Amino acid sequence: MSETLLELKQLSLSYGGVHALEDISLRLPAGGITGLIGPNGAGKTSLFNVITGFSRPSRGEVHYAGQRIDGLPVPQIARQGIARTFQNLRVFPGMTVFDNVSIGALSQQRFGWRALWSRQQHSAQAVSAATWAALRRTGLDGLAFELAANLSYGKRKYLEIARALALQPGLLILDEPAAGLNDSETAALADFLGQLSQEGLSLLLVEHDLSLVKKICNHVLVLSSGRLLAEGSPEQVMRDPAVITSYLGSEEA
Amino acid sequence: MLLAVLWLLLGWLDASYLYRLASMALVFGLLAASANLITGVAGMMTLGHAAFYGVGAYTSALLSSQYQFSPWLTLPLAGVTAALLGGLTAWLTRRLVNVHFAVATLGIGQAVYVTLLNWVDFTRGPMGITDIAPLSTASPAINLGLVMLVFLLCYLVLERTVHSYYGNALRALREDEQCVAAMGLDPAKLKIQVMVLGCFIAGLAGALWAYSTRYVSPGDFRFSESITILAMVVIGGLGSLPGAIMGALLLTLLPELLRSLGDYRMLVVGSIMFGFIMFLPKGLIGEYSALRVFRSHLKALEQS
Repeated sequence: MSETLLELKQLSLSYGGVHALEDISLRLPAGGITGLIGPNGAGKTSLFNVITGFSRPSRGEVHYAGQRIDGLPVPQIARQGIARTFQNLRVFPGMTVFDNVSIGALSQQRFGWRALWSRQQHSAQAVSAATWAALRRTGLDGLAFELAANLSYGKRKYLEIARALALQPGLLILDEPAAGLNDSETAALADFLGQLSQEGLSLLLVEHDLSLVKKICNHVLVLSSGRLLAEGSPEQVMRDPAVITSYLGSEEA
Repeated sequence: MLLAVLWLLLGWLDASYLYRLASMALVFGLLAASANLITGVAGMMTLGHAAFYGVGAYTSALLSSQYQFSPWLTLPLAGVTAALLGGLTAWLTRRLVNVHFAVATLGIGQAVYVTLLNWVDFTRGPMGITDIAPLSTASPAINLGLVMLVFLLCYLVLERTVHSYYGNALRALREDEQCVAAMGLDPAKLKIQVMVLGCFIAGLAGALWAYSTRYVSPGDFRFSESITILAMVVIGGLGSLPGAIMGALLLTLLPELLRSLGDYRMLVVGSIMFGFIMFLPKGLIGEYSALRVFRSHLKALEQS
């Protein structure tokens, strides 16, 4: 295995008496696409929330690129290089596509008051360059000055990814990227995510579409009732009897 | 440019009523523009803007009449006092959103109003503070010119703030606070910065008001003033800086133009407001059009 990008150590999360996550330990290597699967309520989104700082773990540690990040505020974790999208598409609807994406680019700049006075200033130019780069990468550059609210559902998915890419992350976390897309849109998204991975970005995604997981992920984690049930290559995991009974079995039955 | 023409015209007409009207329009222009930054751009619904305006007005009135400060020195001090109160409010309410923030600012507005009214030893209560020195003793025309100068400086600062990437961050805050955090920007910090800047300008507006009318009383800073300011922002177009100025002009000048209607005046003003919201829900100049200049700059960058 190559060097570790993300490491979880004995991570637990409980709300009151409910254990959303229990004693999860795992290492995510740098590079590649990791899929996180599991039945509804298995704790997938909870795990994302703990990694990105939206929830504080009740026990355990999260390390990213060699640094401990659990307990840090959300913005600081994002600035360290973990970008995410949300399950229920959250773009800034009242802003243009360009302005949406520029928010991702902003935090990578030390954005002083001086930048307000001169739009030619270096930091402002860097924001604009990073924004255009993310727009071109996602094919949204032609729609840059359209209001996000006017975009189709599929385009808004790409907008959310573009905004995350503008943050120039080391790890991109996607919560159900293919939800609501038709077959051809899903195939296009799979190609796109594959390209991002080849360019060196590490991806972690929750996905219900198992054929998509099989197609693009080189590593799969299976969660069930807040516990890590299995991990390995897609083929290994989907042959695992424990996984078949708890998850796949129930679906194919 | 327009202001210079207006100034010459008023000088030629030489009517003190018109001077007062012009200063009032400028003061409310600043109030609407600063409330627009907080409510229109950053989406923090404030129902207590008059409190910061009042704190600025009383700061300058008391410092110059009781403690013989030079009016020019009290201008920044009025801004700083209001900004401190605004920053404190924002810090205390940094976790509140939407209607909860609105009610908190409503509370601040009432608290300030009641303090101005009842702390008689310090504020002279309902009698207000009279005989405030003017900004300069030269002439009413010079005074109006000075108000215009401060107005222009504030407008410039707001224009640069709103039409910038920083302004984008504020607009994003309005749209989805959690998402802003996930993009690496700290919503609490942005909120505090916005309130500090917006309230600084409201405080300055208060000082200009005190020096233009040379009399302040608690009644000038009631809850209804906060609502009028909010109405100016909404009629002008939430998030639009030129819109806020237009809204302020409309709602300060309209009641004056309609004076001949007597008792029916405010009824007509109310109906006109209602009509504007019904037929122009995005305001006189919507945010999307107001940001056109900023966008064209970005298009030019792309081509270069």
